Amino acid sequence: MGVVEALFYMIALVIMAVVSLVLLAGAAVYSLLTGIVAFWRAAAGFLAPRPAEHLNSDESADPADFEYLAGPALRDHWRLAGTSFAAVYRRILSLSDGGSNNSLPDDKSNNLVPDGRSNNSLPDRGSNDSLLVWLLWRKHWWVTSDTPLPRLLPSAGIGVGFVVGFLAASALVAATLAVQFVVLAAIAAGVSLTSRAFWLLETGALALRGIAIACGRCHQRLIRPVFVCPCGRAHRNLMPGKQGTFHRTCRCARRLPTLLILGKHRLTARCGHCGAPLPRLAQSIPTYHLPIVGGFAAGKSVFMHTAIERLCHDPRHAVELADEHTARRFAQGREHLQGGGFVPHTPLGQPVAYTVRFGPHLLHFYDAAGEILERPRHMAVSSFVELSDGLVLIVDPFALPAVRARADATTLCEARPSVADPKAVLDVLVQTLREHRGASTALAMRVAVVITKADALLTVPNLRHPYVGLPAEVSARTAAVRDWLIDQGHRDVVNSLQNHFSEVGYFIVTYLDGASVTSRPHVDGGPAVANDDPSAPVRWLLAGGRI
Amino acid sequence: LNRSFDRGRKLARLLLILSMLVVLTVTILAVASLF
Repeated sequence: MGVVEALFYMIALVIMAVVSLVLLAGAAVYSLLTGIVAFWRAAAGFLAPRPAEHLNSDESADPADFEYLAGPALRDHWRLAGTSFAAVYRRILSLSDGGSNNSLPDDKSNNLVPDGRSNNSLPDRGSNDSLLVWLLWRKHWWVTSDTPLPRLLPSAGIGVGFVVGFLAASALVAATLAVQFVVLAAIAAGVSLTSRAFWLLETGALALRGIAIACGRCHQRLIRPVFVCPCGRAHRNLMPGKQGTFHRTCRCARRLPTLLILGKHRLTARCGHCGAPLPRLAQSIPTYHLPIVGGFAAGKSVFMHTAIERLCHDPRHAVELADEHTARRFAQGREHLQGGGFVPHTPLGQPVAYTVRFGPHLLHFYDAAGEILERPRHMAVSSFVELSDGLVLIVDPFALPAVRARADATTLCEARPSVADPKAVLDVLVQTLREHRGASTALAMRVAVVITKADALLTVPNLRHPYVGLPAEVSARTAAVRDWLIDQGHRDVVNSLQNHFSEVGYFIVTYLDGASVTSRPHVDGGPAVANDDPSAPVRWLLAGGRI
Repeated sequence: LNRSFDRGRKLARLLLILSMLVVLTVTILAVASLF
């Protein structure tokens, strides 16, 4: 090579180097912009609305949509990052993308025409090619072993520019995603914290107000009811959480409130164990469970109906039969009593509660069949006793031998006396309570001992009524009935009650006082005697201790 | 469509635009401060 040629070569080299630098800068800027566009297209496509059923992969969750910002947003963000970087790489540097033909030609004479275009596939590849593929396909004949260095420089500059542009675009994408992640994470944390705070608020409010839920049919304590959407889908955990803080969207697209304050109590609630409907107010006011126990035919059902009847007459409290089941059975019982008959015997089995709203209380009355108490093996599985907040022990006075001995046949026939020994019934009851509660000391609950059939008691000659000459004062009347029981030879019952229960109250009632409490004369003469209001035992139980 | 996801993704897209604007602004300001 001569000096002149070398000089020209050097000049060409310098010129091409300058041109290459310009091309490098242009290629870098172009690839950066192309990368941003690719990133934006990929992100817009990824975040476009699409069916999301498949995202609800948690089989144990309720049939509701997940709250996007309570977790899936961050998972989506991670996937978006992968998609975005892949899109940028694919658009700028990838050598293996572009659809049908990914390989570079190995023989230019075979695939390329002199202007550098493929004679078959290149026109179709243009829009999907990465920039680098475009460079290598379009300019690859410059990159051969005999290509002079000055001619190689522009291609090299463009290639390096693409790499620089890719790095810049990647840095921009990374910074953008990082900023978005910080904001999204803050929002997700805020949503999660808000959910937990309202979950605690809801749970704490129920606990503070003493509201616990138990099923009146299967007698199981419930953590929370199963709420049923109007579409029929059951939501077992309708609380603030990952499926919504204040509301959740059921699969039927209906919005359900997760908080009682937002109207959750208006939804249909069911027991999670047996599926029985729960009263509408189950989570709104404290619930009290009052088993009414006694021997067969002692008058438990009649007492319960009369007591509820009296409660319904109370003008000071809002009273309502809290569910359809109670209303139907109560109407049947009232029909029997008003017709002068007796309510049918309670069927043997675990009693289904009569649920009554009485002012700020929701009362569950359990009218247990007398046979249950007379058969310990039945009583042992009577879980309703475990729920009891107070007990009503029904004593039929005509089951007491001393009373029975004084009554004539007509009175006994009309009174339909129970044959169950009150002491035997009490022993089974105490044993069952001890098994369920495991208490070795006195059971911390009130027991109202109710002597029924007081109207018939007034027809027994030579039998003093405990309230004769007594004022209508609770403690005096309680003492009088207790002493009366002792006089009839049942000190054992009185002592057992005193030993096993924290408080015991004694009452005498008759079903004739359902409408109003009236005084009645004794068959032996003397002043008329007014029995206790049939609702008095219930009120006394509600007034004490836990109740 | 899951409405929560739909709304959430719209918010994510908005955040993405804002994030990109923030990054571009900061980048431009940083580059401009060099000169």
